[in-house]
Amino acid sequence: MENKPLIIIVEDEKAIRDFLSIKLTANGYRVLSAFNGNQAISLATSHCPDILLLDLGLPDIDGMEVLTTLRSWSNFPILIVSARNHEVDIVRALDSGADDYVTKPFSNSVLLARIRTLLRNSSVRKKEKPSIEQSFNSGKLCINFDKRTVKRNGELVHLTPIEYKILDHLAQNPGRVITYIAICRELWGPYVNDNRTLRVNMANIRRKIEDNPADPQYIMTEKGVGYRMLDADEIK
Amino acid sequence: MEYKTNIHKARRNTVMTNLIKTIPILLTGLLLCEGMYHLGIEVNDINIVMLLAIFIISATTDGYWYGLGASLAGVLIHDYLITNPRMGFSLTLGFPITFCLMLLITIVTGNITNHLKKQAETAQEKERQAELLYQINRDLLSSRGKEAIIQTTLDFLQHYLEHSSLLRIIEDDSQKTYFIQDDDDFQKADLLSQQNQYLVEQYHIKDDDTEYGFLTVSLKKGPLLKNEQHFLHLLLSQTAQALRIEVLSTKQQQAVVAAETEKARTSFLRGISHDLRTPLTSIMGASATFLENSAEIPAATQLQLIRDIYSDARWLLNMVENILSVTRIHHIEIHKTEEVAEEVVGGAAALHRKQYEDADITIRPNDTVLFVSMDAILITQVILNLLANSRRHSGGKDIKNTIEIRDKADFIEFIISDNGPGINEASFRNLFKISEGPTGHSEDAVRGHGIGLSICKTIVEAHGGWIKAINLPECGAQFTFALPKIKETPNGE
Repeated sequence: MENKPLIIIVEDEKAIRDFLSIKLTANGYRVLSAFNGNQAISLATSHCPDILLLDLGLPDIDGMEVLTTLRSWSNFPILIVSARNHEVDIVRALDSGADDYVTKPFSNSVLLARIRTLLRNSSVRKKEKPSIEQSFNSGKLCINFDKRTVKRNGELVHLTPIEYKILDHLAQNPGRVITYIAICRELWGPYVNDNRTLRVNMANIRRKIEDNPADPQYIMTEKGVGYRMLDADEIK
Repeated sequence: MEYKTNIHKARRNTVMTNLIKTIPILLTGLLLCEGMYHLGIEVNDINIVMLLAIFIISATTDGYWYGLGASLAGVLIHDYLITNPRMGFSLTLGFPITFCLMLLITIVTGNITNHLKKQAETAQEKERQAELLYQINRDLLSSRGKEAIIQTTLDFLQHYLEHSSLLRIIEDDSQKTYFIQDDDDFQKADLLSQQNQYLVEQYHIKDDDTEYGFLTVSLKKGPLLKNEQHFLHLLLSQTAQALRIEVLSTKQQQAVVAAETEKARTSFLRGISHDLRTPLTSIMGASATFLENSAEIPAATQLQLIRDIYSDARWLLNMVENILSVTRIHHIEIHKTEEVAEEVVGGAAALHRKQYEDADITIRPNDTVLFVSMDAILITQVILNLLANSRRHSGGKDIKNTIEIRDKADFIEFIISDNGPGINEASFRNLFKISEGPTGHSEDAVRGHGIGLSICKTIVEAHGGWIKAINLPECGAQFTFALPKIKETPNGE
């Protein structure tokens, strides 16, 4: 019993809290739930969860405030559950330390996949390995981080240095959304405000690694937020 | 046109011109007298010629002094040269009388001509002001927009005022400042601080109830002349009028737009309420049945009920997304960003697949990367609506969709086709309109006939694009919507 990962759900809607806790318990997690921000903070402080699902619209204090308060002392993964798909809020939350997000209404399978990815990454984080993985391998697409090579169906793909850096950054964090700003800062330093160059590069990367660049299998566009490289086991 | 320079020059040149007039006339008069004397004409007649000369001088020069001087000189010279004895003053009893007579004539003539001159001057000044007023009026009224009006006022100030000045226009929550003839930084400081009220003078631009701004004039180049003050009052009151008209017409336009928006909103709400009622009825019915009779219903039917609830909820969600997309369009203004066309199309297709697992969509992107200025969430909604639409009107067939992106001269076209039964000829006319109420048999049979496509049209047109539908020759319908291309500006914005 004690080995089951603990999830705290912060959500003011009872109906959503109910079905989430039923679904998550059925999938082998322990679940605690909080219905407002203050309760969430005290619950997280006393129980130190493995993951926390945070709704941004809470009755007492703003979800963003809960996020920054928690982030000031903790590093357990925080998954934002946003009611409205307002990209600005999501980007702000991600840049303030949230690890990922889903928008309402979400499908249960997507939510469970996100939770799995976050738990795996955080367990890797706990072991403090400097290099997470040696390679990204989905069968068709294979990225070797040491040799800095990309193979598609066994054939070497030629990427420009910038293109490789972008792909590398996304593939090192599989399953997680990386904001445009985060990628741009990683590549071009802190003073870049325009993500147009990044997006042209991404379009070119897709032309090289995807079968149909408009119908990507590996790198998904999160509208207005950033890009997400799918986890190797999520790729069909 | 250069009134102000004329005024200054005129003052300087008065003495010269008056002397130039006086002396020749006087000399001509004396020469005439001399000639008449030699011809043996009566002294009395000669005196009249002299009088005439004095009269002309008084009439043509300014003030009394030239006339007085001329009459004194005339009388003396006349007495010296002509009256007996020649080349010597007679100083008879008649002399002072003649002199007084001449003086009297000078004064009377001077008075009359001065009066006439003043009248002429006033008339001229009035005509000039009327002309200026007409010009200001015409220029201000032909200026469209606040900026143009202010620019016209600035042009007039630049042209007619020598003094440095500062025009400040009060906007809703800010002020705009313009300098005129600002060759001197000290003057700028004076104008800005307005501390020394002896160095600046202020004029307000206002009508009865609103102040639009004010003009501060530096008095470093001397005080304002009367006609300059008059000009400023004239110009600024006209500017205030023009601004007032501008504000009123803007308000009127806004009112018209608001009324139209209100109308559109009402018909939209009517359409959506109807569309929401149907799935809600089915959800409530199914769940109530389940709650009340779950014991009697076999497990398979129970599952069917739940599945129906789920599918109706999904349909409701689609509705809600549509409503949300309409709230993003405020006063026909949308928040546009530059997006990669294929990313948006791909994203929309992925969302559609998430909703309907059996969806079959092929995307044909353009060869090069295309950036389009759009609200990505709204355009995604358009694509989703078009895909859902072709699915809903499939006529039981397995629908295959293709989405193509084409780069045209002025627009980027998004072409969404299906292999369904195509669009009913009768529906074409009102395809993109919200159905305004029950129209007959199909109203409830095909739900959501109205708002999906009408929202597509609203969204695409709010982007400055267009949408159209055709039936393909073999089978299927094809919807094309186009968004304007981003105009390449060489220096950015």
